[in-house]
Amino acid sequence: MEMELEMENTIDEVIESAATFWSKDMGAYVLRKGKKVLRGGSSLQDAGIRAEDVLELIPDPEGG
Amino acid sequence: MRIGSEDDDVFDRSKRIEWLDLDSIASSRVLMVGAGALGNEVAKDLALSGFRKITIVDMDHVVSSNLNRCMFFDQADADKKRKKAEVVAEGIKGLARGASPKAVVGKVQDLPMRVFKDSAVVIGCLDNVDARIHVNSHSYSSGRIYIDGGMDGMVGKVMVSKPPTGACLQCGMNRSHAKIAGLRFSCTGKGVVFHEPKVAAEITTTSIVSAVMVREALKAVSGREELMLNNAFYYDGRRNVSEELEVPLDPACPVHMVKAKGYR
Repeated sequence: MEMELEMENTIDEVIESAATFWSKDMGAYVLRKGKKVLRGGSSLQDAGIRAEDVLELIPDPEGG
Repeated sequence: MRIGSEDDDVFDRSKRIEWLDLDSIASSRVLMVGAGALGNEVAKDLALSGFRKITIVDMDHVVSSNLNRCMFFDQADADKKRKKAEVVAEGIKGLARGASPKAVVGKVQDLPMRVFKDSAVVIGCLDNVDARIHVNSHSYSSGRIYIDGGMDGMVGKVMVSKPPTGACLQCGMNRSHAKIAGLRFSCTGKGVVFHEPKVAAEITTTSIVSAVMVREALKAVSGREELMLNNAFYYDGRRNVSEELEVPLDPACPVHMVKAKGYR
């Protein structure tokens, strides 16, 4: 999906929006850019995200 | 030397891996928190790899739905509601000569700090964020390597936290973790209700995740930290993909803030 975002949006906000858009089950998720996991509280600017970047929402598995 | 005598040695094949320090492995105490599916597989791998001093912590009892992925449990254990930690400890004794596992039936939150400090390495086989946060922070402040495993269906993750430097498990958490941690305990007005979400699970992913966890423990006690994972191993069995992910240290992470301020 394509998202229109402001640079002051946070990674947490992107995670919540994407999880809602895809109707994901309640659970823990992280957002990754390439091999790096992005910090939830960071703004897109602080995380170094630029237009056209591809971010991936992945589950952070909780089961044991 | 007698021809074939090497086959009399239980650890002959392990000794052929030069960097494994089998003396250190046998003498190092491992604290394993959680004795469910992941705990069963980790315990089996620890015992067969030569670990002898294993502390197993779990508050729960065996149920029938554990039996498709827990090698140490059987239907009789479920019928008798036997404690998981005790059954796994018995299983380890049967598997490894000279093993002296110690079962602790109770909540990890009730363990004294010295249990962390007395262990060479801490392994988390947990099923919830709250317990993970507790074990992570206590391991980090005790200066002990923490190896955490998690699974959801065919997806698995192993995170290694190596104090005093580098990111810890909590550095990789965000608001979605806080949400599910908050959902686990809800107040009804008459008390706090404990919700246990049922997560998809199957043994093949459990086996892979637990193997990676124990291999990291072997490196840690063999003094080969440079071979260990930097941060997270991520596995997706649906796509047959595994990779190492970087989790940056979060200066705002409570674990690092406490360390920086020197609180204990």
